[in-house]
Amino acid sequence: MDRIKKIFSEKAKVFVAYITAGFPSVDDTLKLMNILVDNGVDIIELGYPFSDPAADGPSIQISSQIALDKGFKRDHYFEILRKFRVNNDTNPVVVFGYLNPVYNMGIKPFVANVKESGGDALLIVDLPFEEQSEIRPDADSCGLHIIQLVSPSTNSDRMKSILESATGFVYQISIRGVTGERENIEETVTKHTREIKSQTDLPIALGFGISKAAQIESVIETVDGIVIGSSIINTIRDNMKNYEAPLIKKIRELSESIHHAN
Amino acid sequence: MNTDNTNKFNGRFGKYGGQYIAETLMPAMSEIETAFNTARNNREFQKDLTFYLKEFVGRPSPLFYAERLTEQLQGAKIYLKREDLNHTGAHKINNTMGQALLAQRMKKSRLIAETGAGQHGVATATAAAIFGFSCDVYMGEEDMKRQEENVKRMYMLGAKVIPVHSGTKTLKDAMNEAMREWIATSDDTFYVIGSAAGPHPYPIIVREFQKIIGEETKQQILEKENRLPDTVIACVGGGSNAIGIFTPFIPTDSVKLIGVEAAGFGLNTSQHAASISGGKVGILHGSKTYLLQTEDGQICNAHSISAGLDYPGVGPEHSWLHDKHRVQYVSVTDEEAVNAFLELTRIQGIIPALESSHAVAHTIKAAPSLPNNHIIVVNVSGRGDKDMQSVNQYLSEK
Repeated sequence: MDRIKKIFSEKAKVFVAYITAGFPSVDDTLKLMNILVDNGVDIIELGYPFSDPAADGPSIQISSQIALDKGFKRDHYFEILRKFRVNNDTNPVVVFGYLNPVYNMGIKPFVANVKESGGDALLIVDLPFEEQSEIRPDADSCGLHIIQLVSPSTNSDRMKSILESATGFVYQISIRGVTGERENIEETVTKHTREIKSQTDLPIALGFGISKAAQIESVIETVDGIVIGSSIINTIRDNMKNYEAPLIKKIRELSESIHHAN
Repeated sequence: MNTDNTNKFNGRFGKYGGQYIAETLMPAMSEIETAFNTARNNREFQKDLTFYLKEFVGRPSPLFYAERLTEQLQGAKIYLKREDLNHTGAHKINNTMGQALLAQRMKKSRLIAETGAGQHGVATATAAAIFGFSCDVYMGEEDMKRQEENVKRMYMLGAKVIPVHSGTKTLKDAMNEAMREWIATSDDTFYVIGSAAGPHPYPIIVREFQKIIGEETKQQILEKENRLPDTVIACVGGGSNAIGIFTPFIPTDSVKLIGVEAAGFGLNTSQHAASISGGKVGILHGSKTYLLQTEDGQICNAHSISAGLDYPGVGPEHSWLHDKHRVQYVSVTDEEAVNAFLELTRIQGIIPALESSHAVAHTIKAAPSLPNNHIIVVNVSGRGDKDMQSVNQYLSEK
């Protein structure tokens, strides 16, 4: 059974956490991944830093810039993945990024390297459903999921096509906007989740803008997972010299809200 | 040459173009595509656009025989397409008037735009002013310093200029920031893209609103010379003025088309903006095209003395025209461009934009070895008043 399927079948609710590879440094990334899974994270979205992250808010922009400024290279990404897999065969890793670095290496070799290094899925932000044909055969043949996104602006025709080709889990975007922490969560989110649910049996993870217990509480009943990104990056950035203790505290709080709802 | 594929268009020029954007923007793209396809065949829309281009922009722009430049170079006969004489001083206004009228039909209340040199920002702010839109222009912090006058012009026109501090603080980052803003606001906001770049249908929209340059040129040269030109030359950053003047000539193989990229300090350095001559195919700002990138797939900083050419990508149709060998892409350094700027100013009394000076520079190189009956048309895409500071600084540092 693949890791994504397994974790969603074992857990009532799944905690998906985003971090950027190479932030705050390449060495820290492996350590961070282990901190995450040791303190309640189920799935890691490992961001591939890109110079022009046009769908991301300030936190992910800055973490990507820091990674690149410190000399992050493609090989580091696969090296981090491989090292993580040495001691962990349970927690899925989703490769999150933009198409250009993938295309630059060549889609086939990139996909093969992800698989071989222990990645489970690809989530390419600037590769909407209509443009996925050039990556799908390679991903399918080695058993990597392409995670599909559904946004509040996705109309019902496209949603149908998107969900028909979805595997792994469906990523529901909570808001019209880029990634980043928000104060509130839109009231229509749960209605939207139900609409998606009515058309797919796959689990749904909700992301973008979520960082607080109250937000999680308001949506957790209907979704199968919650994605948290920018607030994790911000916790690390706010405590750059010694981020470990505050990060563990943050992750445990979030895990508590996600896993022990009701 | 067969260009039929643009009629039954699928968002691609060969393998180039496409819609590489965030899911949240996909519905906005099909909304624009539908609105544009309706508008381009709508008499009322075309009538409005023609009216504003004539009465407000000042079209048609003249096709001027550059007699003294021709005599000096003792070769080909050189004509200048005077886009510098348009209202706001460049070809950019052709496109912003068209897109603003489209936004009006789509009942949007706000325009956003990215700008590098500020010309597209000024042209968008101008269209916003005459049609009553609110307007936010995203501009890299670095460019705001380099083009202070244009920042002031945009404010006076009622637009807000939003400084972009991320990345390299130039045009590509301004485009990222405008995209991010648009993801959140596409319900009431129209994104006016200034270059023949971006996701489908933008490269088509920009081409269709800019091809009036080539259509007029064709008619004017037939009136003056009773035949088509032998060569048409235009500068290429993102490539909007070039695609505008090239488009009507593309089906006629006997007309040679030359796109001039910015070689900055030279193609053998890392300081240039020649995406086709010195780049590799990749994906940026929604389309697949030639890009300046590291061997690892990160986008490089472009460099050109001309802020309008200072972009690490190029419109996808240019990539396709390059691969099909229909357009020849060459490059010109900062130094050659500045020399051409000075020369055209001195002997023809026309101060060309530094962008356009790249096209003039290639003409100066090519014309002497061509026969007297060879006709060259150069697109003077904008005027150079905005570049006084850059040119003076360049000369004083030399």
